Amino acid sequence: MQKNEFLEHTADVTFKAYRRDLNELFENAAEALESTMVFLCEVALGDSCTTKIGSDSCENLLYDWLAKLLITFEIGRFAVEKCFVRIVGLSLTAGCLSERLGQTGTD
Amino acid sequence: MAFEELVRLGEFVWEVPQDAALRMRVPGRILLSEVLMKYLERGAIQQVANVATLPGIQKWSLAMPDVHTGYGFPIGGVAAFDVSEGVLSPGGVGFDINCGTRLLVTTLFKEEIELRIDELTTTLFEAIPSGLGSKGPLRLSEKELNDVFFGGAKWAVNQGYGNPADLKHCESNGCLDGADPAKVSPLAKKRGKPQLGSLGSGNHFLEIQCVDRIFDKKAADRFGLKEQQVCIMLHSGSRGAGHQICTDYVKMFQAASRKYSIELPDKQLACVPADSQEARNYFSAMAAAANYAWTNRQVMSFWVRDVLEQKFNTTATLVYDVAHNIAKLEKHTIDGGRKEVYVHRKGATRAFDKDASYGIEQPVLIPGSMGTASYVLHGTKKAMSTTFGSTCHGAGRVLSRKAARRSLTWKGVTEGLQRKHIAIKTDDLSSVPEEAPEAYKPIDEVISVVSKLGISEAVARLTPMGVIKG
Repeated sequence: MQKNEFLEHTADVTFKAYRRDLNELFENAAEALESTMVFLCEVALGDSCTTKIGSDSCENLLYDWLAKLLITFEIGRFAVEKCFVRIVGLSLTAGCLSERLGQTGTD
Repeated sequence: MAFEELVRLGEFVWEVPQDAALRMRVPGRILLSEVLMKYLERGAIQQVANVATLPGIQKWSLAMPDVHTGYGFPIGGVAAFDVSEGVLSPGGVGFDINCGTRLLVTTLFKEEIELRIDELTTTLFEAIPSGLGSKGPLRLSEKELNDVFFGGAKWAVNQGYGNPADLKHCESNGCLDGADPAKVSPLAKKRGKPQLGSLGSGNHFLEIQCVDRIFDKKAADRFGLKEQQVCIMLHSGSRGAGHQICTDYVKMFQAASRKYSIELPDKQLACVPADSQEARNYFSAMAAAANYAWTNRQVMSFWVRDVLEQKFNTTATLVYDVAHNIAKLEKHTIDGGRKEVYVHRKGATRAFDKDASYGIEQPVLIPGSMGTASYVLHGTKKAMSTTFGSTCHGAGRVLSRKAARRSLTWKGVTEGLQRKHIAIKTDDLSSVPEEAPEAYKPIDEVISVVSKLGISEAVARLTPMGVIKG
């Protein structure tokens, strides 16, 4: 099954994520987002982290999950290459395999 | 929405009739030439129609010639809302709050730097952080960050990044009143704190340009522009801070729209009544982000001046700084009477007929796409009466980033620049195709349309010599 499909949009990044189940949907959506920020094949896995999020709807849970990944990239400077998502109700737990990136600009 | 539903009202004015879609309160007006019509997306027409359904919208839902599909509102969109009966919408401002353009003019002329353009481009590239997630060298305390949100470019000048004369040549003097750091979330502050003084990525850039042609000598003289003079143009915004502020309030407003029973044809148009507490909170946070962006451009200007001093023993004067993603509280003449409205300019630039600092019409800065010309224009009376004092903001994308990467290569694009003797520096060559001229509308045509419409008048054309792509 296709994981992701990027769509045409002149302003934003738009993609469809496909899945066999909800967990895989969130994993594939994460991969799509990360691929817009780094070349995933070049991410050397060395770090890992666990993320827990709760929300008030499935749609908002997906939104909050992707927002979390964006913040992890921008502030934490981690690129997530692979994640394992488990959703129970409206709560998400994810184990992420990642690499800490070098700082861009001075530090 | 179909192209066939557009009604032509003039050579460059196309109307989306008020009965073209359900619940439109005003017609839409798309300002385009026939040449640019071929780039017009159905999605953009639909968005113009959708904006026209929002409460309190005045006169028309407008789209400038560089229009393309955006988040909720089209990019290149202008809409004004009554302060009592209208709404405020983060989608009408954009995620990069106060993304804007700044132009500095040097005392150098083209022949003085031609042979050293690679050196100058490289030195500026090393001096100013750029790229996705780039961080600036400033280490701000929480209090200093709040001061930035509150004070804008004025804070930067007080810290020694520039001089007071710079503030006169900034839209809103580089600081929007009403900013409140308390309305900015901790996450937005966390994102913004390390990024002050950085260019960012995507279509953000710093360009070394040369005044290639003067169209209006009187205005050019007032702005301090001479033919062959070297200028520096900066395009950047509020970085992660502004993005998070928009994200926070879009989410909040999607729930609040339901609370206020505002029917939305598209949830990306999430909005609240302009006189609500939620709207006041958003405006305060938006103003804080706007001030951050002005500070950002002011700090980067300081480093530009530093490099010019080191390399050429000279400096640069600020011509002007404009925002092109912002909501402003302004008074306009509407149906014969003066009315206070929130003008949302998303990918649109203010083009007022008066500017206090120059004593003539306001300067307008329109960057072209990478490798093409940029323009200095001025605002007009016609803009005040037909577009709420607004004009375009750039060339406007025609290709998605995906399509650009598919059809162009970074090698091909950089070779194209090299053939024009344009130096380029970037951290991310793979993203260069996304900013190629082929991904954008022809800037000369966009400028021609706004000039012929009379909503801004060309003063000078600038051509690139060196490009730093974020």
